[in-house]
Amino acid sequence: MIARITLFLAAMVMLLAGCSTPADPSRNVETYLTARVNRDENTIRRLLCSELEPQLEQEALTFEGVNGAKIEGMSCRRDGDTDRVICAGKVVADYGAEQNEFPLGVYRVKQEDGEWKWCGEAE
Amino acid sequence: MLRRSSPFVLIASFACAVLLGLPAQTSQAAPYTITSPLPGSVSIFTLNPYQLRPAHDKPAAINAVPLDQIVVITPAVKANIRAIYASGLKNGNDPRAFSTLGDSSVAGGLFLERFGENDTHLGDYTFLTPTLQAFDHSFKRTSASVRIGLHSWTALNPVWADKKRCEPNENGIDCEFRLNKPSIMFIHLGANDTANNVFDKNMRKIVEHVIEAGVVPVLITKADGPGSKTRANNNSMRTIAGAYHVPLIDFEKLASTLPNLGLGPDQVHMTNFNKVDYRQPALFRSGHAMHNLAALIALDAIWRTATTID
Repeated sequence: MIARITLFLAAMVMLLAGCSTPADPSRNVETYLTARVNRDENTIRRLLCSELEPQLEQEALTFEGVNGAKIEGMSCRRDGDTDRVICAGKVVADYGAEQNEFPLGVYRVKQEDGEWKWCGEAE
Repeated sequence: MLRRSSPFVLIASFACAVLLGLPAQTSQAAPYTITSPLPGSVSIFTLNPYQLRPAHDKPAAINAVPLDQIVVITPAVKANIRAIYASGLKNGNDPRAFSTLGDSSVAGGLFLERFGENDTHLGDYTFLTPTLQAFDHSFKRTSASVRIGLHSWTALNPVWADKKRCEPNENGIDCEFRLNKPSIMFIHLGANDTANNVFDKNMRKIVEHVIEAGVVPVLITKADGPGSKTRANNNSMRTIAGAYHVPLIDFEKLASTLPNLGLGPDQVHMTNFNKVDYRQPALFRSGHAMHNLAALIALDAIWRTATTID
């Protein structure tokens, strides 16, 4: 009996997890922002919306030539049921003795091919 | 390319010059047609008498380097300055505004903003005073397109724009254009760009973007200390300036006359100076002081070129 209940609960958790992922674009935005800092061009290409494809190279080079770029305190959430994702936190990067900070902001997302894509900063 | 609209213009121009006691070649008060080499940008505008400025005696060199080797403005560049400037005015650019684009070499108020300070003395370069006065507003503001660590490949990236002043998805250059409406932009990049092929490609994009906005780009070479990994970028700057017929400040030549090339201990950033007083010999040994003077001379030359005819 206990085994059956455990199996049922596990199935429910998996089902709910599967249902909630496509509805919440914030995870993909976090993945995109992380990929940009890590210069992970494959992930950038996968999560960049089609209208921004001409900017792929620019996006991939965002933190090229900057040392120790890392994201601090990133927390993203969808703005209601809009196409906007609001992110707190910042990217911190060094260049020699100089330090640069890039605050995270509000981003536009678009659903394409069944997946939420990052589509630039929101107006 | 200039085409006189009427023979009357020549007579009027000469009479005006005689009355004002100015050289005839700098005088005009009637409309001229400026034909641009840029596609679809033909402009007609009038140069007003207040723009007439007499020629001045001026030093022919700085630290024995001839001025025309420091500020490179060929006849082809002159023609293009006029064309770009005219198309910019047509788009609403401010004829008395300039902007700067660059990295830490020009950040922190060390580039051109120094001329916005009180009690400046130009020494042998007082002929630059009208230019200092005409662009007064630009000397007293901080550019939105200067940022520590900026590269040629991030200058057009909105992530690198100042989020307090720029709009979403707006890159630093467009942001600066919106805020200042410049007719001239000084570009000092390359100290951070270790990949020369990427630098060259992106500098061309920047220059095209700036020209498209009707802003005259002024490219600046940098001093390169021993072991510099970005030395090739200066040659790119020279090549691009020649290819696009835009002004060049070949600061590397002037820097070669300075102690340690005008560089500080890190071999990247220039040595600073105290007061803006070009009567003091110490300024002629300072990287930033010479960098600023060369830029002011270039601004004067470009402004004169844009507002007069040969």
